Amino acid sequence: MAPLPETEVKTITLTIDDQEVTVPAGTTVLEAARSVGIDIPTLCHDPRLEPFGACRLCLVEVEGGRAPMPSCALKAGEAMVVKTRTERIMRLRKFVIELLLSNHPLDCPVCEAAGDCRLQDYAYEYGVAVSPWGWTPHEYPTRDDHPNIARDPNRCILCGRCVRICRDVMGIGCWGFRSRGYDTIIDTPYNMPLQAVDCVSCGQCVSACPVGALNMKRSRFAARNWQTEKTITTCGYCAVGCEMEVQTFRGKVVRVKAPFSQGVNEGNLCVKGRFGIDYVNSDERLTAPLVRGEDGLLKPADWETALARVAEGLKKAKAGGGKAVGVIASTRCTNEENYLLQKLARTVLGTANIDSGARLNQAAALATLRPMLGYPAMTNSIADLDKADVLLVVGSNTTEEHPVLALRIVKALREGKTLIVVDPRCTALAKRASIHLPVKPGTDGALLKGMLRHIVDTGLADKDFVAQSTEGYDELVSSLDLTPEAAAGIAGVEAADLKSAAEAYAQAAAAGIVYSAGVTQQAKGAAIVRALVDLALLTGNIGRLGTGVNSLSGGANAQGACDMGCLPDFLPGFRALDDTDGVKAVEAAMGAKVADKKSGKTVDEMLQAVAAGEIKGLYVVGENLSTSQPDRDAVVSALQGVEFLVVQDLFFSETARYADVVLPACTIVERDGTFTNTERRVQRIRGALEPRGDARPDWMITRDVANALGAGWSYASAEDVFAEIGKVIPEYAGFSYERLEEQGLQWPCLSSEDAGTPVLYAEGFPGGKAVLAPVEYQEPSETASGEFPFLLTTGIEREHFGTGVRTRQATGLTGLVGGGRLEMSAADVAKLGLADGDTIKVTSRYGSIEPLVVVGDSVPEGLVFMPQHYAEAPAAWLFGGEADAVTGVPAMKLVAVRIEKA
Amino acid sequence: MKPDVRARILDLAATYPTPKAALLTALETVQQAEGGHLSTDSLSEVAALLGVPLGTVYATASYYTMLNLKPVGKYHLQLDTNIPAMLAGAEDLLAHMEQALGIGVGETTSDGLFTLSAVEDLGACGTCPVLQVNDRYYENMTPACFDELLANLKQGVVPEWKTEGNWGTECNMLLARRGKPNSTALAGYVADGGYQALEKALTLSPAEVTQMVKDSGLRGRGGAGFPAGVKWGFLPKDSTKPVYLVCNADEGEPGTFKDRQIMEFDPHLVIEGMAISGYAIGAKLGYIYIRGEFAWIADILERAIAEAREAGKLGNNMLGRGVEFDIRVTRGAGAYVCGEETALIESLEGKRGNPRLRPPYPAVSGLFGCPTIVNNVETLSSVPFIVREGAEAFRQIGTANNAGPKIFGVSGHVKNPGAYEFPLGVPLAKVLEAAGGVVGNLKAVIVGGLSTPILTAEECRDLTLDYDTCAKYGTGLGSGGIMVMNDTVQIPAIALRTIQFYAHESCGQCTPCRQGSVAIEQMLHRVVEGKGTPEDLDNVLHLCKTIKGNTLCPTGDAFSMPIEAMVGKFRGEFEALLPKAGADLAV
Repeated sequence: MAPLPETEVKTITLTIDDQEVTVPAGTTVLEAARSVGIDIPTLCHDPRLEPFGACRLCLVEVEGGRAPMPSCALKAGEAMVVKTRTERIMRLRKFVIELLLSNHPLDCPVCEAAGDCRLQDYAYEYGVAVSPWGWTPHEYPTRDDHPNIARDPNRCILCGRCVRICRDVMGIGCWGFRSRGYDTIIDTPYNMPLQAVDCVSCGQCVSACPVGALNMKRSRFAARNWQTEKTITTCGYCAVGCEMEVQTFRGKVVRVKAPFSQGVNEGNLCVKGRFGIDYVNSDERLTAPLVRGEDGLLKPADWETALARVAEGLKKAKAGGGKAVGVIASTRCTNEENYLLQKLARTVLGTANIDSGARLNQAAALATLRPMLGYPAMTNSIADLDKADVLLVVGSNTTEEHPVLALRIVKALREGKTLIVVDPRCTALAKRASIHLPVKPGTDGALLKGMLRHIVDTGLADKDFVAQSTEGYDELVSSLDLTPEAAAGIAGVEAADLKSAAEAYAQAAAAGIVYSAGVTQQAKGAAIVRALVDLALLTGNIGRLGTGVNSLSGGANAQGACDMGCLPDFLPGFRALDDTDGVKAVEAAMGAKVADKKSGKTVDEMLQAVAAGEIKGLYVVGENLSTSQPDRDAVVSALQGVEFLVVQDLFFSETARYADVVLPACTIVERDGTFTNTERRVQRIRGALEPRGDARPDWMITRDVANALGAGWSYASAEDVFAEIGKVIPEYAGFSYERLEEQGLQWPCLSSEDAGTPVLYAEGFPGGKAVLAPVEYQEPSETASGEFPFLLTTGIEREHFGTGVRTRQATGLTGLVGGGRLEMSAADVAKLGLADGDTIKVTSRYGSIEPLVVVGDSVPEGLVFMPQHYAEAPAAWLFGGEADAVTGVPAMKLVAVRIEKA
Repeated sequence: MKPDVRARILDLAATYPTPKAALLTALETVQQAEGGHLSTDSLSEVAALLGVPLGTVYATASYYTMLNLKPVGKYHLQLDTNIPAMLAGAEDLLAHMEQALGIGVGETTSDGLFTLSAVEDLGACGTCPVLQVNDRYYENMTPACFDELLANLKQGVVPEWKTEGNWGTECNMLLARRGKPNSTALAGYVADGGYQALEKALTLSPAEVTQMVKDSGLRGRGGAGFPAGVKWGFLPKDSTKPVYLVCNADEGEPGTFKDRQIMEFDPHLVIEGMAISGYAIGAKLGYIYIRGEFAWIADILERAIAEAREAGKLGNNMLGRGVEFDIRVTRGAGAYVCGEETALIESLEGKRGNPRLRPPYPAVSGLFGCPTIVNNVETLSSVPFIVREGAEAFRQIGTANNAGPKIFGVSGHVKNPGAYEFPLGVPLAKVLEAAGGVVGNLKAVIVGGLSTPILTAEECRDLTLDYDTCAKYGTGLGSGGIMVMNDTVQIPAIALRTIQFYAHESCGQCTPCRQGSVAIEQMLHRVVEGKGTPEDLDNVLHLCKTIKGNTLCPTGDAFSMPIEAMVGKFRGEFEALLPKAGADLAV
């Protein structure tokens, strides 16, 4: 599929230093100069920010102009003649550096920024040792109270990049200029600790600082910039797929940066990306295989022994047929690794029992987006989100779950776009939304019915689009049995708000939908996604920039795990097991037979099958089932009861405790491969360090397991595996490591000439027409009652990921937030006679945990919230294992609970 | 925060396109309601009420000198110590005050009654020394007056002392109604023919009015002298956004006290000028941004606007002709830079008064991102005459290319400092004569406010006061603030005080202004203290030359040009202060 036709971009031709330069209209002179390798020094310029023009270092002369102009703000003009290195300009640059050095500490030998300091670079380049008129440094106290960020205001040159990135890009505003003139200092209000002023510890301010005023505290004195080796790779946490530069020195990761010039993140990172990588250096890492001895204890062993034991155990388990083995894949693993794992399952072990945590977000896409539109994936691109005039965000606490992607929404807000948030909680985005619909948990379906009905009733549907490009309109309309008023009543929102949200969405030139786990982890998640697709189709908001149904996937490679066929009912490339031609094509490309052509089991079904004695062997890669899955007792007894359990992970997770063999895997910086992010972009990850101890990359372990079972696989590298993937999956046919070198490409990419597909369905739907589906709504099965008077919902915190296997080993993260906590409104806390910080007992019909209680303003009375990450109080244990009948996703968003002081 | 204050803030917020824009006004309101300073809690509350991050609230509060983040005494005594005040003996008065109060500058008496501050120019150069007590001015202060004032304040009495400054007019236009009883009332203004120009303007098309102003040759009286009608012509023709008119009443250039003469004594003249101009440029709303220290003048304006609105001269149906235009008064909070039009706009939006990068110019993207025309009080006040009497009549006043009347504020060493209205092109000597003549032997004159280069007595002998001649003489007419210095004045001290002012007022945004102003201050300080070197003087000149034209806003020029002139023209006086060779060895 071809990319969108580029809109006609006007170009401008100007002359810079006698060189003719042609750039798109709107380009600044600075960008134009840099595009042809003419360097203009800058301090206050940051490509992520609006021009500031204050440092006066980037001044250039323009022919016919009176005074020099700041090139960072000056738009290139047709036939403009610019000189960047006249005698006057060179003198001015030197002067500005002299001025800055007149009070800048000359402590370069111990300054963290030395070697990566623009002021130092320019002082050297322009030969300024000290100001001719003297040197009077400030004597401000330094600050060290944030776990990751250290501050020396004496070194600050007041470029304001930290202030602006926090205020404008992050939409927060921790920093501000205090006082004015020479006494200006960049400070928090009242010099309060950063964490007391809404700081989300993203470190964006540090990344913006051109000198040594803001430092990454944890890497101080670890290694000079020039001493480190730098590897560009992709972040391994969430599905945004931020590109980052990992700096290593003497076998350890020293720090993480992000290149400005490339990647979906354009130089931005969140707290996990920037400060969450030192789990790699943890002493708790698994460095050798562990094999359970006859004494029942896990003991270190060599690979030969461990692999032999795995082969023996799995062979024994599958003696009664492949169906007796289950394989669980991970979103942490690469496409290559997941591909091999499903190949192992299907062609060596002979089972269709393969699934992964990707199900949580992706199953709904498979069950709805694929049949209704064509592909089970986000329709548009991350960069598209700020092109929407109206954004409808449903069940996505984006600033916490996908922090860097959320910056696009913050940008849209800054540009005055309309944001509508549907969420029971008043999230950070909800607080800033034009319309927040605080829907009662579990009633999203009713709300969307009301919106669809209102659009139909008021004639706001895009009739031409519906007629030309969709089918099923009548069925949809006849399913809309709730008036907007009735829907609003069920959902607990104002009917007027519901109507204006529907009108704003329907009337926008381009309106986009974003949804995430807040939808897909509901008991009726698939039904909600259908209604969202209906919204987009009914209003023609698809196939164009700024529109679409943007399903945000969970883990770094959640999309890839599904693409690779780590699903019980789909082969690689979403070929259903009952699609005979598809299966044949896959078998031909894989060079092996798919043994089990009946749908396999999901993770939860596998665990249940263990209890029923149907599954005897489990191979678990990178999933921490004992914390992540609901119905804890059943999970633990399954893990204990299964005859043979192999766990492959970085750390000795809670799940590994039950294993017969534990295989030590490599982290993201110790192996090669590719991830597919939420916008279908396939990107490289690259090894920067040697594997720790005897640990091995997951793809290699899976290969070795397969070979121990007699498969005879000869893959010598991840790239070998990737080449095979290109043959198996048509949408991946155009990829190669070489083509992905720069910043990846988005599937479908059908050939080596195909530039990938940023926006799906720009040229129509694969099935000819899209399908409008009737909307179903059922009342949630969980309701508050006398015995369980509170409704509890769960979600994600930006500091942690999954069950914290990696993040809770990262010292840059562990100091930032407390452990298992339950957020409750001040009124409810008072009503129960509790105090902020008390340990409480939370009990549902299914289980009980003991977190702390914290007062928060995101939840209304009667609703409480818990993050999902904490093993000491896993919210999952409160759930009973009810799963969406369509997607098999365990419901983890709504349960009635009782709360008392522990 | 009290519920009524909270309610007032929410009401204020509702009057702006975005609640954030009410920030500065909200802070002023809270400070006034809560005993003169802003507490941590009130800043947090304002932040929450307006939806602005606390960091931004704090940053804004810390920018403006009139906003106090620390408690101040019941009476905040703020003495203007800028150059016109210096020339009128403010230094001695300050010493006297310190003695009488038993505290130094920046301190509060132990009983919590008095805080003493030395502040920058208060816009009362003709009636210096001037002391501001809370929001009230006491002008023409002497040590004896101060003692009497202090005795009153100690008893809880805040006396009403009105000071009538000196004034005179040859043109009878801008100061025509000065001296008339109750000159601020609408009835008197109308009786004197007021609002006839507006009547006439509304019978013309906006384009015709703009053309008249263009034809009149009216040049901006704020200092730049840019033709007003041409500026109006920069408004985009095809914009769908609202257009704003902003009246710049942030009179803060040392030596300048002309706009207050109009606003305080003839507010309807400005209002009528704005109504006509607003009509001409298609604005429905105008703002008067007045410096916060002129609190009582802001009150006068607000009363006059209310009266005009009541009488249908403003509002959504001006003079019954279906034209909409209204005016709001916004008070600054102590920042010289806010006189620069883009900084003024930032401040009007409730932010720190940091100038914006240009382009875009305000005419294209100004207040709230909308097309905006910023004109000075005196400029707008000239518009009614032009419309009533015609462009030609206006051009008859003054000289070619320098049409119309101008108010000159004369301060320093003259017998009768005050405000004098003359046609542009009037000889300096004639203005000084009107001010009662020079006291002592004339040494130097600054003719256009502190930012214009100083002229020696010799240089200015034949000077006539208009934009072009002043430029020819190597200075600028600027705001027409004339500071007269006799031979008792030491220019190095004036130079030091000048750079101290600009270093204090620099917004700190761009490197040359922030770092350069202080570097110059440090060097001049050394020189005045007798510890300088010849290199210091060379470096001062080098800095001035290099800063000129290279800052983000004109503030860099505003100090580099006058300092360069002072050091250049009076270098001998500076050199005389340098230690003699080997002198430091003898100490």
